[in-house]
Amino acid sequence: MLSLSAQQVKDLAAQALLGVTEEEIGVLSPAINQTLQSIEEIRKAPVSEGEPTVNGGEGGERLRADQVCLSCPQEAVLSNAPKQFDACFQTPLVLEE
Amino acid sequence: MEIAELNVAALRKMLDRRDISAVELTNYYLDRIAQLDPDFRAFITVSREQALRMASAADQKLATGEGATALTGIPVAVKDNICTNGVRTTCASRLLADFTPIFDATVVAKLKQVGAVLLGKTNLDEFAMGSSTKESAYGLTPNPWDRRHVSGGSSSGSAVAVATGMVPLALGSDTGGSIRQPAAFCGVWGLKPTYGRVSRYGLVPYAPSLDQIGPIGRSTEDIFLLDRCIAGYDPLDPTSLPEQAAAAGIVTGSLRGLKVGLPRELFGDSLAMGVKERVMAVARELAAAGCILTELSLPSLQYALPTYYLLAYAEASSSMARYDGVRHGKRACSGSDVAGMMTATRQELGTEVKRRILLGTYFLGKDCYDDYYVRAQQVRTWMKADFAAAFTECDLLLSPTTATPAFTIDEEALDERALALTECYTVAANLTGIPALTFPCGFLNHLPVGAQLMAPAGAEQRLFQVASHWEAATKRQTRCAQGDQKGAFYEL
Repeated sequence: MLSLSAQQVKDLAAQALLGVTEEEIGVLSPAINQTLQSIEEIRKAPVSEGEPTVNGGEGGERLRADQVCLSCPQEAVLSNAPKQFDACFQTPLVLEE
Repeated sequence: MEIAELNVAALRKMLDRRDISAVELTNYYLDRIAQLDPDFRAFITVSREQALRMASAADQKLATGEGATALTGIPVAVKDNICTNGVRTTCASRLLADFTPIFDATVVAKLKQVGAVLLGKTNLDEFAMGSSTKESAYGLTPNPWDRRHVSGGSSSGSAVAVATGMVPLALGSDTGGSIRQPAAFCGVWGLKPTYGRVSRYGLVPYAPSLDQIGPIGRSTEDIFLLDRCIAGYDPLDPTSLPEQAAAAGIVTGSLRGLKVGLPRELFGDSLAMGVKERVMAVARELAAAGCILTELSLPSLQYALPTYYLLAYAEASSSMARYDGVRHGKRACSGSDVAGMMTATRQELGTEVKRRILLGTYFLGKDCYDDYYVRAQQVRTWMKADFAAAFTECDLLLSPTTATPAFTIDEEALDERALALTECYTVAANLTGIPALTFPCGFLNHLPVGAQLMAPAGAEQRLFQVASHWEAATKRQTRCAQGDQKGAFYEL
C-alpha cells in the first residue's frame, strides 16, 4: 500500500518547486496518506487489458493550420510581468555562477 | 414579485416593453449586491463602471433592435477563474491577487457580443480545487439557506449569487462537480455541458481533460439560454467540438416512452434517506408523464472517485506549474536563483492546492505511474464504455446530485468522507465527458436537495426537455434565499 513519510513529502515538494513549512507538512502528510489509501481500490479494477483514455472528448486535440497568426502585443503580455527588462521577463539567475 | 425572483424570460419582457432599462436593471442588481454580499462574499470583484457601460450599450441595442438577443441587457456574473480583459482574475488565490488578463475568455467575448451585462467575478475555492470556498483567499461563501452550512464548490460564489437574486445568471466551471454540487446545495439549476461543447479558452485550467464551463440559473430555460450563448466551436480551443448546431429552443412535447435509468450504485446506503425520497419523487413524476423507469447497474462507478483523484490531481500538478512568479502573479523576493524564487513564490498557494500538486506529482512518478495513473486511464475507458452500454438501455439517467444536503462548515473541515460522498455522484460525468444537469427537487431540513440528469454526449436537449417538463408539471418556482436560518427559507 502506498504511503509517504514526512521526509518524502518534503522531497516531493522540492521536486514540484513548492514551498512548504514544517507546520504544513504536519497537515499535508496525513491528508496525502488518506488519499493514497483511498486510491488503492483502483488496483482491483478489472481493466488490465484495456486501452487508456487520455483525452476528455472524442477526437482528441485538433491541430490548427501551420500559419502565422496575430498574437497578443508584446507590451500587453509584459503588463503582468513581476519584473521585466528589455522586453523580456526578468528572473534571478538560472545558472549557478 | 421582486425583480430578483424573476427569470430571464420575465426580465426580457420588461426590457423589451421598456418597463425598465438595462441601466436601471443593472443598478437594481448592483444595489442588491451591495446590500447582501457583505454577508456572503459571493463576489470577489464587482465591476460597477464596466457593468453600467455595458448596460448603456445594451439599451442602445434594444432601442434600435439591431443585434438584440435573449440575453441583451441581462446581468451575468462570471466565476473568477474565467479570464476577463481588464478585470482582475484572481482564481481566489493570493498568487493572482493583482493579475489582470489582457484578453477575454471566449465565453466572455460571446456574452459581450450579445449585449449581456457582466456584473463581476465570483468567489471560488482557490484554483477551483475544493467544495466549499474554505480554500478561497477571499473568505468562505456560506449557504444562503443556512449560513452555518457550506454553499458547496468550487463555483460557490456563482451559485450563491444566483440563489440570493444578486444576479439572474452566472457562469461556473465543473471538473468533478463544481457547478452541480453548489447548485444543488443552493437550490438552483446548473449544467455541466458535454466536454468540448463550450470553449475552455480563457478558463484557468485545473484538469484540462475534465474541465468545462457551464451555466447556473434559476430555471431550466434560464440555463438553456446561457448555455446556447456560450456553446459552439472555437478554433482557439483544440478540444472544442466542431459542427455544433445551436438549438432554437427547449424541445417540448410528451415524454411518453422515454426511458429513464436509475443507477443502482447511486442509490446505495451512503445516500441520505430524505434525499433518496425526493429524487424518487422526481422519478415517480416522470413515470406519471409516461417515462419508463429502469433500474440498471454501472459497475465502473465503484472506481470513479480513485480514478478522478488520480487523473485530476496529476493534471493539476501540470496545470499549476506555470504559477512560478516568472510571467505573471506575485513573485517572492527571496531566492538567489530562479528555482529558489519559484519555490518561495509558490509558498503562497493554499494548503488544498499544495495537497493536490503533491499528490499529482507523486502519481506521475515511477512509484505510481503504471500501476495507478495508467490504470486510472484504463478505468476511464471502461467507464465510457459502461455508460455507453447503459445508454443503449435508457435515454438518460436520474440520480441524486449529492448524497446529503449541504453539510455544516465545521463538518466539512473535519470529515473528508462527507466530501467524498458528494463527489462520487458527480465525477463520472466529467470522466466520461457526458452532460449532466442538476435541478432543485425539494428541501430536507430546510436545505435544498438536487436531482441530477445525465445523457449521452451531445444530448443536452434531452436534459433540458425532461427538467423543463418536470418544472412545469410540478409548478416549481424558486424564491430567493435570504440568508438567515430562522424562517427565511422558502418552500418550492
